[in-house]
Amino acid sequence: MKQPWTLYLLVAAGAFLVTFVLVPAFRWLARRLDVVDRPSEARKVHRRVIPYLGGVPFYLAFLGTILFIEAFYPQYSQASFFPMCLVGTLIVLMGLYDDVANMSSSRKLLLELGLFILLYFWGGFRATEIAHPFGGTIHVGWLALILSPLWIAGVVNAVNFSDGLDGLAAGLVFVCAAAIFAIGFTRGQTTSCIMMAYLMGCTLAFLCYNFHPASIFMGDAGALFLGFVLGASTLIERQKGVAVVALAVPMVVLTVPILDTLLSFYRRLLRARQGQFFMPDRDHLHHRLLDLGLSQRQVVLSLYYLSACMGLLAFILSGVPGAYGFLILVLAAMAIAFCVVVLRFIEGFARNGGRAAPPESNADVE
Amino acid sequence: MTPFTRIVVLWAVTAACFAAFNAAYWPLNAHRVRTDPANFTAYAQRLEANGRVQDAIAALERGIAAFRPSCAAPYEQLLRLYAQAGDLAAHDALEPTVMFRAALENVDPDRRDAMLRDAARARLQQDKPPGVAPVTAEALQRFAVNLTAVYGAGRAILDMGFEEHFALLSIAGGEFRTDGIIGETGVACPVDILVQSGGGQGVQRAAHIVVNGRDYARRERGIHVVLFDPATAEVLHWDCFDLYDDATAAQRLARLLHRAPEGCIGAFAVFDDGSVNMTEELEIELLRFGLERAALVDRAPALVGLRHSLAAIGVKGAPRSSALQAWAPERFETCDGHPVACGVLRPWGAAS
Repeated sequence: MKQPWTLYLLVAAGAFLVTFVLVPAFRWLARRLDVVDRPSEARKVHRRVIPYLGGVPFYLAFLGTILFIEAFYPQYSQASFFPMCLVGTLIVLMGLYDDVANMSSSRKLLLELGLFILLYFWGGFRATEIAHPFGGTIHVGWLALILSPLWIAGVVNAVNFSDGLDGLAAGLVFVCAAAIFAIGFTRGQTTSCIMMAYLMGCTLAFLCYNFHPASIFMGDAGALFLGFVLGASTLIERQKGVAVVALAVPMVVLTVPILDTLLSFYRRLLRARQGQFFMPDRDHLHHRLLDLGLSQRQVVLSLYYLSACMGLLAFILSGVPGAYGFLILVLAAMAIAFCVVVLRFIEGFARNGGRAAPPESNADVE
Repeated sequence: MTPFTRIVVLWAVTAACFAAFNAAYWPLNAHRVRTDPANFTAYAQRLEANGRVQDAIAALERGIAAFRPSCAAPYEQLLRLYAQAGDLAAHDALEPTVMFRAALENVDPDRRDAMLRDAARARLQQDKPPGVAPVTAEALQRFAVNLTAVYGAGRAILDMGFEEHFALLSIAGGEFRTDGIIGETGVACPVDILVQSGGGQGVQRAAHIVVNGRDYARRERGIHVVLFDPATAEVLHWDCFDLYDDATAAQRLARLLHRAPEGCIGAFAVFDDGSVNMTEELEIELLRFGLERAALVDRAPALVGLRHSLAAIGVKGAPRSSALQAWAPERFETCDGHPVACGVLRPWGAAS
């Protein structure tokens, strides 16, 4: 299938330029308005005051991308673009509020779900069929109303949770976008490729300022918006005709942030009895790797590497028939489970000063 | 500065950016919608309002050819313009199609069946098929049932004769030759071939490649292909290639078509979808069978779009557009598409 290479290049270059130029302007604005991150909480890794608002240029670059397509490549414009812009705006407003005044997690989640339900009805972002492990699809009918908003909210929060180290969230989004771009490219999914080209462009530009040591943070406005574009884009391509969503591929690409989110959800469930479900903690994957003695740069690079491996796996997965794909997925899950066990073993080993940890010592990890 | 003031400032900046975006976006969007080829009916209306009836007719004919709308409105508009322009031959030729589309949009089942019969009869007055072999008549009946099942048509379809079934399939976008010649290729077909394709979902889906009464297709997603020898009618190869789920299927099909001997006859039917993993290489191989990029997808000519129906019979090495090719979209505006059929029928008596 013929691919609009020039469009992808222009979108990526445009997003890169807009973000690269606007980030210093918003860094200045954040300092002027005192919208900054102070290293006051124990879970925060940085030791300096760092301005927020680095994510607003993502949003502006997105609006610019949509305008560019509408003006110069109308054949690739989609009816769902405007709903994405509107919901994206509301996400950014919510993120900005959170950056300044700290919105509670429960309220934020409810608002997100409300917005994504709106997107389900208005923008047509729905997954009425999901991939069957052995090939083909399963019709989920009305369950799509629950699954689709939850999927986008899951990706949004996965990106948000991974925004704990310099360059981590932006880098993971870049790697995921590159993998989804490659898969979309081989399948001729133009809209998905456009969105991923945009994500690659703006995250790469942002990394120039955000890689360790960071001079600006994207803040919740940026993390939520990036997660929203990434999550919604995985549904956008399939809404032509009947919404058929093969979520397995984006799920594998996004394994690192999604796994971290699921583990975080599990920890929160354990804390729920103390009424601390919505309280953030310092047990995310990157925190635990830091505690093992890795430097911030090493943690970030190893998570990039892990994410790139998953992206490559997803690429292979997308090219093989369903049953083989399922087998690869099972093997990957086993490999991840093995890594988690090894990580816990190393943690226990480090805690005990080089002696292997007794099995029962793992019980108090949470 | 209080947090409230900071939030107000930041929200104001964001809102101003979004307002500026809207100010630029909506005029561009309006222009895009106005010039979108899929909105050809609105374009024709504007031309008609400006007194350019012939241009409006041309725009509608182009649009119908490129989008094969499943709704009655574009056909009704064209019929009215033919009458206005005094082109009675075109008017009469189109009338059964309008009757058929109007019947499908009728919600009363009994009335719909009666309207379908009227449409078929109106068509038969213009073009009546010669007699066909009983196995071919049986296949035509099955195809007609598949076609009308999409709209919940009743038993009346089963009670119709093969001529009415043939008429219904023709006015639903079917392409048939009743002299045994494959399209414009000039190649005589040694057997009766009937192909039906239904892209889309649920009852829209169908795939049949009936060669002398035997169906070589099955209810399986992908492009069904049957290749056979034009001299002996021996089937050389038949298979289904799932271009939706299997990224390698397009390559395998392209290789098969590339290796097929020059002059062999190919019959193709899409079930569910045949576009997701379609490659340029495969498109070129299919075009070598005399097929054409007849559909307009994302403003570009394409052989098949997402969940389109595509039924075709061609000859390897034939010039482009010479094959028998019928197609329909999965959906046009608010109307569901339907299965389409094509076929080469030899006058009954000459059939083996």
